[in-house]
Parts: sequence; structure tokens; C-alpha cells
Amino acid sequence: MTSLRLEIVKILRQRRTYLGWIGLVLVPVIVIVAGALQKPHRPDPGDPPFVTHVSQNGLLVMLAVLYALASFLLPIIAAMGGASSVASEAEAGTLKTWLTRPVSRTGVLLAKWATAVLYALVGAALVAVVSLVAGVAAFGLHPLVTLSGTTLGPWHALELIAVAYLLVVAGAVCSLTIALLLSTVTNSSLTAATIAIAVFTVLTVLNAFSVFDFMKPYTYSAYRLTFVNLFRSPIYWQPIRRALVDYGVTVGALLTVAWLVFGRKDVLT
Amino acid sequence: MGTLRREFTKILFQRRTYVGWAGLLAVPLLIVLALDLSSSKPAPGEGPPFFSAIANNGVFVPLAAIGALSFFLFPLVASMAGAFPLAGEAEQGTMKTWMSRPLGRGTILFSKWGVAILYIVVGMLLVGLGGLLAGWLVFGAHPLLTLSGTTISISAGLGRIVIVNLVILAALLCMVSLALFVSTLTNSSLTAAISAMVVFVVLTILNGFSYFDFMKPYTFTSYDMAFINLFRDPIYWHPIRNALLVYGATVAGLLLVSWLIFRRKDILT
Repeated sequence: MTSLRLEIVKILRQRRTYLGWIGLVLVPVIVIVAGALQKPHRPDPGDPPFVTHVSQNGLLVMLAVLYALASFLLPIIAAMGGASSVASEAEAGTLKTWLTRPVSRTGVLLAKWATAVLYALVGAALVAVVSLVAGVAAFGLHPLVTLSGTTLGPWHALELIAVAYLLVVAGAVCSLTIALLLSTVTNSSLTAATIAIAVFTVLTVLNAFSVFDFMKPYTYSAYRLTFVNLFRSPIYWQPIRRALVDYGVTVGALLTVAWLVFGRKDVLT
Repeated sequence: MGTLRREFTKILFQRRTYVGWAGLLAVPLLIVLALDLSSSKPAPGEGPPFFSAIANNGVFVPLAAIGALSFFLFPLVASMAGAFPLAGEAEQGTMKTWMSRPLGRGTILFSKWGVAILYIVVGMLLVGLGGLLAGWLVFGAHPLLTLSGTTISISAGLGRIVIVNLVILAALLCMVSLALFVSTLTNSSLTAAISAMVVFVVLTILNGFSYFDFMKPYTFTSYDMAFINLFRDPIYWHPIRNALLVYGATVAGLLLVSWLIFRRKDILT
């Protein structure tokens, strides 16, 4: 636990930690300002659900923002968190010093992974809180109409939205773990983060082609918008369950490889 | 020029360079593979611009590939290319040595900017030539159908594809300059690259809301579809001219600020 506490202190001393969080929080701010001031327009059938009616219900802000988060910003921020863990210490030349302390490499690796997860989680929580507070202040708190047409009370809806945020963070943890694995392989945090983001993007593009449908059940990127199924009535659990199994297997496998690599790595700096 | 040559040698000795190029080259090849294997061809207007035309004409492959890449993956590579030359040297502790040579700081800054551009140009050549070759082998080469319904010869079409690449290169210069600018402020290449990406994503989200239309003429991200106008007959130059003006102003502004900062920066490593 001490390792974890020390890792958290480290990232709190870095400017990029706050830059990442600010970038995330900008999204709800933009959505609310635009939703409040934008003239209502006829919904376009191509628009993702929830986004068009943002100005009618503060809760919809949380969901509209979650769309942007799940498809772009959270994977980027999570990849940064994962990549900076091992590689940026190697760059700064402090990894060797860290390993001279009586800590196991496994403990160090897991502490770094947990810190990165916590970083993504705090980012998502900040977004959730900002969009809830500002969204409700701007547009009020109303019952949420589900995709099946039924209505959910605001409190019940809030619970489901919280689950949706957790689901999206779980998806981002896959990107994060890829970045962590790469940051044990290379000594450059930039390389690790870029490859992790590129993998997510390329997988997302491949998911769009029907030829590559055979790999859809196995790629974590295919599940990035599964949270929508929480807002059907009754909740359509099957894809969510599949997503969680897929995330679990992906993260487990990547962490194991990262552990195998880091366990025997020559730490030169 | 000697400085630029040395910078280029530096990046040729980094693994990341080849990972980026290989990733870019994979995209047109994957597109050809996917469209060749799939039994149902994409309907007109489906997918990224010019996608549906590929199955009848391989010459469209380099065009569709660069178009699809220009929305996310190429900006990502550009921010990596722009962030690394300066901040990467600070990370490895070689910046001070480099500066001890009889070189002006302006020369160093601009050669780092130049090498990032060179990196992107090589990536574009790989995408263009690789895509053209693969598309020609699989789908054949025929005169091209423009968006206005007229037909242009293969050589004229290739000429326009080269101009498309130049327009997109100008857009990517904005990302390179943005990443270079942030990398004069921080000593971490990861922070620089991710900040540039966050700015890019946030601007893209802003462009998506009609309330923020007033800033659209001034943001470089809102011209991402301008290259399509090159495939009208006659070419519709107006939006392309606007795009190039904004790109030019953005790049010049960012470079100027980077130079002002770098000129007086304390180089500690």
C-alpha cells in the first residue's frame, strides 16, 4: 500500500496529470454551453442517442459527454497514464533508485497500474460531477426517457449513469494496460502512449468493416458504446456481460505479459 | 542543412520511427484487403470519403487512405513527430551537448521542426505509393469519376491526389507546430504529444456544435474535409484557399511563440 501511496504522490506532482484532467472536464463545459445557447434543431438520424435533446434534461449532459469520452478522450488520457508509469521513470532516471528499495518488482508494477487506473477513474469522476452539477443547474433534473420509451426516475437514472461511467472506465483500462505493457518494453513513454492510442483507433476502424466482424467479439474497442444497453427497458445485460468478460481477459493477459517482461527487465536508468 | 541531416539520422536510429511508418503503411493495405475480401461492396456515400469508389478503381485507394488517416491517426503521428525531437533530447540529457556546438537556437528549433515534417512526408509517400500499388494490383486502374460526375484521366487524377496530400500535409503542420510549441514549455515528450492531441480533440468537439460556428473559420480542425473539393470539376478552390490561409497563420503563430520561448529557455539537461 505504501508503494501505491508513493506512486499517487508522484503523479500529483506532475503537471501533465492536471492537464489531462482539465482536458477531460472541458468536454462537459463545451456540451453545456453549446446545449444552452444553441438553437434547437431537428434531430438528425445519424446523431448518437441522447446528444440531441441535451438541453431538456441535465442528466442527458452526462450521457452525451460519456459518448465523447468513450470514443476519444478517455482512451487517450488512460494511455498517457499507463505509459508514463514505468517509461517516464526510466526517462527521468529514477527507476533504478526506486528498485533499490526493498520492494518487489511485481509490487511496483501493480502499484503503477493501480495508480494509472485511479487516474482514469478520477478523471471520469470529475467529468461526471461537473456535468451533473452544471447540467442540472442549466437544464434541471428530470426523469430520463429510456431508449425503449419508458421513464426512469432521476435517482434510478443516476445509478445507471454511474454504472455506465464505470463501464467506460473499464474499457479505458484496456488501453491503459496496453500502454503499461509497452512502457515496460520500451523506455520511451511517448512511444508507449502513441502505440496504445493507435491500436485503439485501428481496432475501432477495423470494427467498422463487416469483413472483420469475426474479430469483433474479441476486441475491446468493439464494446466502447455498450453502456447504451443500460438504458433499455428491461436492461439488455448480455452485451454488457460480454464486454466485461472481454475487458477482464484483455487486461489479465496484458498485465501478465507486462509482469513477465518487467520481472526480468534490465533496468539501466 | 547539415543540422537537418543530423536530426534525420537521429530519428532513423529510433525504433519508434519505423513503428509509426509501418502502422501508416498498414492502413491502405488493410483497406484493400478488407474491400477485396468482403462480399458486399460499400454503397455509394458509405464510409469515409471516396471509399465506395475503391472497388471499381484502385486509383482511389491512396485517396481514401489518406482521407481516412487525416481524421485521427495522422494527427496522432504528427503530434508524436513534433513532440519528440525537442523534448526527447531533454529527456535523454543530450540537449545540452547539442547546444554546446556552434549553432543558433533558431537553427536547432527549425531543424527539429523540419525533421518532423520530413518524417510525415515519408509516411505520406508510404501510404500513397503503397496504396496505389496495392489498389492497382487488386482493383485495376481506370479514369477517375469526380464528385461532379465528370471523368478525369488517371494522370490528372494522380496529380490531384498529390495536391490532396499537400493540403493534408499543411493541416498536419499545424499539429507538428502545436506539439513543438508545447515541447518548448515542458521537458516531457509525452506531455507535449498528449496536450497537442487533447487540443485537437477538444477543437474537433467544438466544431461539432453549431453554437460554436463563429470560431469555425479560425480553427484548423474545421477544414478537415476541405480536400474533397479537389475532386469536383472544376476544382472548387475557395475552401481550400481558406484552409491554407488558416493553416499558414496557425503554423506561423505557433512557430513564432515556440521560437520566442526556446530562444531564452534554460537548458538543464
